[in-house]
Amino acid sequence: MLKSHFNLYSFLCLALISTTHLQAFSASCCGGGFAAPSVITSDDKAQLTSTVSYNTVDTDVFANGIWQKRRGTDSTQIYRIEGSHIIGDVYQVGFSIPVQIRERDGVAGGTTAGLADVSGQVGYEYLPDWNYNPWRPKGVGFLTVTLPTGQSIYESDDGLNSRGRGFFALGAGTILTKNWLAFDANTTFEMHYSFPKVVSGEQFRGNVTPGMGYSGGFGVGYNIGQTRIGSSLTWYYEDPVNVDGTIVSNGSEQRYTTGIFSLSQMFGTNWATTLSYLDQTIFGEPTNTTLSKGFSLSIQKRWAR
Amino acid sequence: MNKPIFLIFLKWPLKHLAQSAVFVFLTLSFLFTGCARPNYQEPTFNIFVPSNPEKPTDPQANPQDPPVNVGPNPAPDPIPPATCRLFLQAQQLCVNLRWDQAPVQTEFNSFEFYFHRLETPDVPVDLELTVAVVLWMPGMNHGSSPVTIEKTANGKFKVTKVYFIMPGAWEIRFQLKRNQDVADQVYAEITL
Repeated sequence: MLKSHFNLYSFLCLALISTTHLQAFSASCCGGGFAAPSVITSDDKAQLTSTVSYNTVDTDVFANGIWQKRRGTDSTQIYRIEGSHIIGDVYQVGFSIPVQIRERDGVAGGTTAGLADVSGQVGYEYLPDWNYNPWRPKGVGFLTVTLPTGQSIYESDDGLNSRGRGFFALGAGTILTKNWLAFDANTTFEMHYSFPKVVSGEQFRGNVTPGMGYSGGFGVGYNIGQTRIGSSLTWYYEDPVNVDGTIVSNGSEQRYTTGIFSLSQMFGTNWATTLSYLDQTIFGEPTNTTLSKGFSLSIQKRWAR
Repeated sequence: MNKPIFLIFLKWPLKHLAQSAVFVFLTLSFLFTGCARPNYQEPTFNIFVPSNPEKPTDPQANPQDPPVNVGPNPAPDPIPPATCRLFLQAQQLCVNLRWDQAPVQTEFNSFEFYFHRLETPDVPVDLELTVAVVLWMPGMNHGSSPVTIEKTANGKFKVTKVYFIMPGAWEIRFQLKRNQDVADQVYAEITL
């Protein structure tokens, strides 16, 4: 029972990693969205995850609600390494470092590669799972900071080499997890504030004010021995990006929903891998965004306490 | 009493089958609660020049001109200069815009334009200010790849490498600059 309990939480942890970082594939024109952190939700001391993902833009959704299939190929590969380590019994710190390769066909196409937005987080287990309770979930709260290390659309010459949002951002959120028998469930909520910046480029000079963003979702999984099959839905919202300078415009809000189906496999007690399929065209009421489809493969190494 | 052998062999898969069925049911239930309602439409070329509420009196002008939707790929007619739908307030100049062919999102496009006074629509006006053309997506508030502007004659310009990095609603902004400051500006809306 203890081993099963341990395995389920390990799976949950890997499942959450495989799902939360994939939200970075929205609005490919503008360098992606806000990436949720790599948080330890199991009983491990540390974890290190490397992920490779491939996504293509399938559809554009305009601010007036019209959908249009994207002609041509606009794809993104992300190679990400994430790590977390506990401090004491309930605190933890972590980081996420992504490298992005963007490829676009057409007359203005090409391939670019470089660092995307780097992030770090601190977490606190405010609902520990020291004694079993059939209803009380395990809860971890976190604070995140995102650094604009990826070139944004405002500094980009042609949008192709835009790999980040371009804003310094602070975020906070929580992850709740619970398992019953062979089932597991998780829910996530996060909010972040991106700080305004002054831009001085060829096309625009002035202030860019992004505002708040939110995401929330839940997932379920079913475990058969060392294998887990899971799915999750996460909704995202971003405030309009206002510009005030050589161009004055209020922008429009962004919404999109990411559905993920995943298959995880544990190898022993310290290694696990997850294959995920992401689709943003099936769920929610998207607006003013691009919708992508793709795959990712994660490999995780954990160290027990 | 011994259990029938088939029950022993069926016990394991039946147990997992039941749990799997519950899982599939739960998954499908919450997945279908959030299904999207796609509103796909075929791409068309749609350029709309917004009416200027302060444009000068002109008996030919019609402030309620509808958008011009010319469908998939025929070349549009040039905008009649008498309507002056692109009017630079500070300079009291009109912008006459003419596409070489209807623009598409996946290709480089080009157009020509010139500045003129209302009373002399066929006479280009040369300017001492710097002319800039910026492609701007107002929904997401970002630009596109920079265009190339070439002055072909006094007051006349040819703009090439007009490329929209994604489909949607765009603005073609005509800016007159004094040093780095925008002295006057007007835009045409285009949807691809």
